[in-house]
Amino acid sequence: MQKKNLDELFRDKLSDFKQTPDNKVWRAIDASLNKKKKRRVIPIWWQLSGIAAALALGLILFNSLSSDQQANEILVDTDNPIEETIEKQSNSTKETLADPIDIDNNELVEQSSIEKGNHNNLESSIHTGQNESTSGDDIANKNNINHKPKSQPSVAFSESDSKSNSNTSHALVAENSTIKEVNKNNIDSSDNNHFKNIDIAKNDEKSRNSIDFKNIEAENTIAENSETKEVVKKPKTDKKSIFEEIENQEELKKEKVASNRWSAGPNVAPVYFSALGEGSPVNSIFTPNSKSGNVNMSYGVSVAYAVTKKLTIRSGINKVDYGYDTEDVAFSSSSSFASSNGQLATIDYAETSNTLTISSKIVTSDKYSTTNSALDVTAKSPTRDGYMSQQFGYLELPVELNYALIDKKFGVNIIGGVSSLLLINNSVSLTAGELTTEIGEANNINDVNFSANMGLGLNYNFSQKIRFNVEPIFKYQLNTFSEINGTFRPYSVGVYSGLTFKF
Amino acid sequence: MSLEELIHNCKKGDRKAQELLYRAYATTLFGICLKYSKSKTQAEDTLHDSFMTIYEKIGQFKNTGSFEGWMKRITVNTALQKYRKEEYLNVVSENTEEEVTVDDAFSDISLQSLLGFIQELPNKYRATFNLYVLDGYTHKEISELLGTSIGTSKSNLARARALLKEKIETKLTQSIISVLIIISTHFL
Repeated sequence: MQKKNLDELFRDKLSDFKQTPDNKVWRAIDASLNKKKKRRVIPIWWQLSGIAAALALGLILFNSLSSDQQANEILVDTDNPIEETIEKQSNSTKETLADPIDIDNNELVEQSSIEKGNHNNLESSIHTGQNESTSGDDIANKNNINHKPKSQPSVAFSESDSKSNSNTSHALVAENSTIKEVNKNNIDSSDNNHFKNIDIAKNDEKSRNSIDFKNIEAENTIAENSETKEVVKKPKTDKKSIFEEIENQEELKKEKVASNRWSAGPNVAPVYFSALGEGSPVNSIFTPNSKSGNVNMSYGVSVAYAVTKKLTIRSGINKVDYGYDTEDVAFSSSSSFASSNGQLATIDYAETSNTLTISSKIVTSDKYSTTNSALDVTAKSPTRDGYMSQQFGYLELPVELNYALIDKKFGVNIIGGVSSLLLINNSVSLTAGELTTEIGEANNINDVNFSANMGLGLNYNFSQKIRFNVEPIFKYQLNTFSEINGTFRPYSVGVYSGLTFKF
Repeated sequence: MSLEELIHNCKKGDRKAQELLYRAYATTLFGICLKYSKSKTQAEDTLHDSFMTIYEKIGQFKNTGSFEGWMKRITVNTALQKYRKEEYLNVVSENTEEEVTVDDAFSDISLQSLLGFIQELPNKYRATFNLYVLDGYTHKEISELLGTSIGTSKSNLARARALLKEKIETKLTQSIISVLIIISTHFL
């Protein structure tokens, strides 16, 4: 039979040869894929702890910022304070916006450096193999040098040391086996695997038996050599395969691919605060007064992790101010240091406002009306009519789940979750005409409270990396006030918009 | 779902897409695995590993060139890597578990027999023959892939051909003998 005929015979029959494999192969692949997912758990926790650290840092920063801001003005022209507060807000917007981003960057750098560190380890172990792949002896030497710190104690005849030595080589073998397993991932018991296991077991035994210090050196070098060989062998043989090229690229891209699940970005939102029910958190006398919510700004950063393609869990940190006004409030300054009579129990009065007495124009309470009439007599400080506004600023730490309904260039998500709100700013002030005066702090606001959040997320992907979000979110406050008069159930509605960067 | 969408979803790690990809290409790739392996069990193992590699590295597939070609190359490489591991482990095991069944002595040399012959070849010969004859690689490419010289590759191919020829001839002789036996029993 001629060469040509033989080649043709095989080529005709086999070049497009196809055969359907048993379904058990898919089951094994499926199982291996599951295994792989589980293996990722540890790095996720590393990354999460990084976020936790960043959040803690942010918290500290926010606190120091907010304490700087609390310069109190008493009875000043409204024109100025408004300007100032606007200025302040914009300043603090800048600052707070800038800071979290910095933190974020740091965190990113840290993460990548950790990953790089890991990588380098891997790289170096491969490189030692690759560079010297031409001469196995050289490598054996090199590795011996590398191993010296480990093997030296054993030369010093210390039993414990030799134990630890064997442990390290054991670990090395274990590592090898995991590396192999990654390569192999087989569920089927195949011959190869069997042999491999035996081989590993042999290595293992070798290194374990090496407690006998006389043999330590010899055995260790055997173990080491075999390991070295393997390290050498792989790169050597891989050297010219297609994988080498892929692997080179992989080193650069692995990070991106692996961590593409993470995203982060700043957001800003106008937040409207209001309440269901009739009550007043300040005092029961204000229950019938009409109240109107204020629109404030919330800004912050969020970090998200895509658990699956559709489900994302996210957290972050936001600074948010809530405020509402109670209309039809009458107030005046009493001549004496006010009898506690005229004061509202739920407010810790500032020193400078100790003499203020406040009442509702709608409800005429004996307690307050007497004070009022008394003041009217003096006529030095007439009663003023105006509104009382209560402001509270929070540091918000949301934990939200984001489920994608549509995941295309334009996406639609359902968002649900809870927020922890840490009180950082708390004030009650009165405004009459052009005058504003701060009364003090409400003492019935909880330092920590929670909100249940739900909303809709709309997003548009500019590219693989950058996405623009608009998220109208309704947040129902759970325990804002420790004692409420009437039914005052606060909520907020915000339209959070921002950019998200995937990394 | 188009192939591009399928690849895109696989890149995202979507399990459904991964299964679809498997269903679409397992048959083709298993054919390659069988040709490059010494047994069905080994071929299944190779197919498993190949798909794991494909899922892992699909992110690096640029939408240039044939995706099928890319997967085939990975499969061939996975099979070749198995040889190297075997060499290192010094596992010398000729195929014993699966006999090539000669089910029809009257037919021409069947596809299964030819596959069997290839599977029976020692690793190096099988690889060289497959790469050169069936998959159109050049000796230079083969020498790079297998880490040998071009000369070795050529001699491996010659040796592979000789072995295959021998096997076919033996097979043909067996067939003729069996035909003769059948005929003779018929007349007796």
